[in-house]
Amino acid sequence: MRSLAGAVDRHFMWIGLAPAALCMAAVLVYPVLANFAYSFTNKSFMFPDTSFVGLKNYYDILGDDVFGFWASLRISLLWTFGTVALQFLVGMGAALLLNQDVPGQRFFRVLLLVPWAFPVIVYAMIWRWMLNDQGGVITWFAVLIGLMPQPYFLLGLPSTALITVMCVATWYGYPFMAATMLAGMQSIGEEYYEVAKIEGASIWQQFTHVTLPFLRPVIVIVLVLRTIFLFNGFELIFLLTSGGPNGATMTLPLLAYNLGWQQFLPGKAAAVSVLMLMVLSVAAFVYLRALKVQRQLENG
Amino acid sequence: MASVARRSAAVQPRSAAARRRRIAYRAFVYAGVAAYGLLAIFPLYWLFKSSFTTGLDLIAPTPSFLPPSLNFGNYERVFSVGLITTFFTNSVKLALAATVLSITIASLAAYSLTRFRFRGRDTVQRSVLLAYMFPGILLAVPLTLFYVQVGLINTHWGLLLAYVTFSLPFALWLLMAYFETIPHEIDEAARVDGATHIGVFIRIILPLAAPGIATASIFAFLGAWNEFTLGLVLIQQNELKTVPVGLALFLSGGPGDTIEWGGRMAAGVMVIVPSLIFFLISSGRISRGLAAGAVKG
Repeated sequence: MRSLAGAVDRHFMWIGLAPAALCMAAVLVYPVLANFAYSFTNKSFMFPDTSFVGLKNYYDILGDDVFGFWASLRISLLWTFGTVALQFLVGMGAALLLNQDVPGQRFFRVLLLVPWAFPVIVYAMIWRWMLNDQGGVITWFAVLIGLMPQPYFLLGLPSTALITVMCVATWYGYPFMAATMLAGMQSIGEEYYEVAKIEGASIWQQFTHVTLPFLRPVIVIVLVLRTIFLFNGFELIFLLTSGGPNGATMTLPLLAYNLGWQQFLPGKAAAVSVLMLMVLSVAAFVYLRALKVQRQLENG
Repeated sequence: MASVARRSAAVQPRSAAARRRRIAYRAFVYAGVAAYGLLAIFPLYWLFKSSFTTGLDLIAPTPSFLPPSLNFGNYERVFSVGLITTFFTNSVKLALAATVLSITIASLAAYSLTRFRFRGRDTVQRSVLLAYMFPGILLAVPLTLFYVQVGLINTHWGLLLAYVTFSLPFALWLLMAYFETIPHEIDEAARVDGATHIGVFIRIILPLAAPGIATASIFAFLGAWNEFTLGLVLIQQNELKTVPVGLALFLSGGPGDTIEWGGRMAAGVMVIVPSLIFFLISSGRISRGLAAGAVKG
């Protein structure tokens, strides 16, 4: 018993690391590598026999419009950058407002966290109901103020589905931006603003010459992280439109899901996700560069 | 003292015009804050209101902004459809187990990563962050195929393993930061006095890092409680589904299916109420965790 305790103590570093390493190996590393391998096969969920098909999956996906990769990539980029921009603008507005001294500030800060409190499905249901063409309160309001000639289900029209999903995603995601930028704003010393005021700077000038330069590092990180997460985003779009109508909101993650679970072509789905990973690694590279540049700036 | 005097001099409006501008500015700020508040609260209010609205009241040409009466019909219907309690049991069970397991595993690993020096330690710490940026949907295909092979498909054990692993990177990252703040002298002194690593870990590190462990636990719990994608692809049997995936079953009626909306909203409220209580208790920690970059999506 004593010697066992001694052995445990001597190898405690490895004992501590082993469970985490095993989990990561089984659920992250192995599947990613396997995914890469599957993308070169005609793998099926049901049949055990699989054969190597080389680059056929990639060739098909990139060469044949039937699989809709290029359309998906375009929608993915629109969705990612459009939503990041919207979230940033709305989030910056919220952070600037909450940085003023307003009564009930604490309450509003808690309110900023509301989106993370509940599963996305609840919001997807609420928004689908509010946007419904029959009895939806937003549709009713839009008709009332003359924005819509007659009630439309905005998520069901190819021309409006994507922008509507982007707006819901903005509602869901801006608080993250706001919370991060607010934290950044509060670390800016009051004295900088006082100097600016004494020098006669307007509120806009204070924003562009004091707030923005100080926030830049925070903004860079938050934008890059958000871009990556939105590019990967699956759940909200799946629950709002499932990629429809007619593929109007079919971003790459939805395309991968569709190929795998609707058309039962896991090999093709794997190939799409490998292609996604390539796009992502560019973004991750930019992120790591930004962090490095920042660290260098901080260290002088 | 001098700085206070200077501050009030700088803020003091100098003329009537300046004062008017200041009032207009305040009005603008209040209006903006109110608009943001409405934006956050209205959808939730509408959820509660609609959950008490039934039948034709739901599609009245002019919606009423107060519930016509406190009608629990929608709630009764949700229960009569069944399964909602099953979804809850599944989710609570899974989220609690995932939290306990992932925090245990992450704190052990964080101890090793902060208390021992070894080659490649920095690489490990950095790749933890990369793993955290990794998209869940990319794992859907390979994880499904892997689980089919090893017989974990359509089981809670499989989902548990996935949830534990997905909450590991952030928990590890947060706990490493916490453990680093505990002076190494304390545990080195204990080691000199003959304490084992297990002793140091349990009696010194864990108690001192309690706030960090609480924060990490909240995020692990919320992560598992809210997770959708893997719950969708790894579980096919309705009786085994979690709350988010189970709730999505209520949506399959399609957009034209108006009468059911009351029932869906009632199901939504049932999911929100326990989360709301949890959220109000832990909102302080959530906001601190958010500032640390805890949230994806």
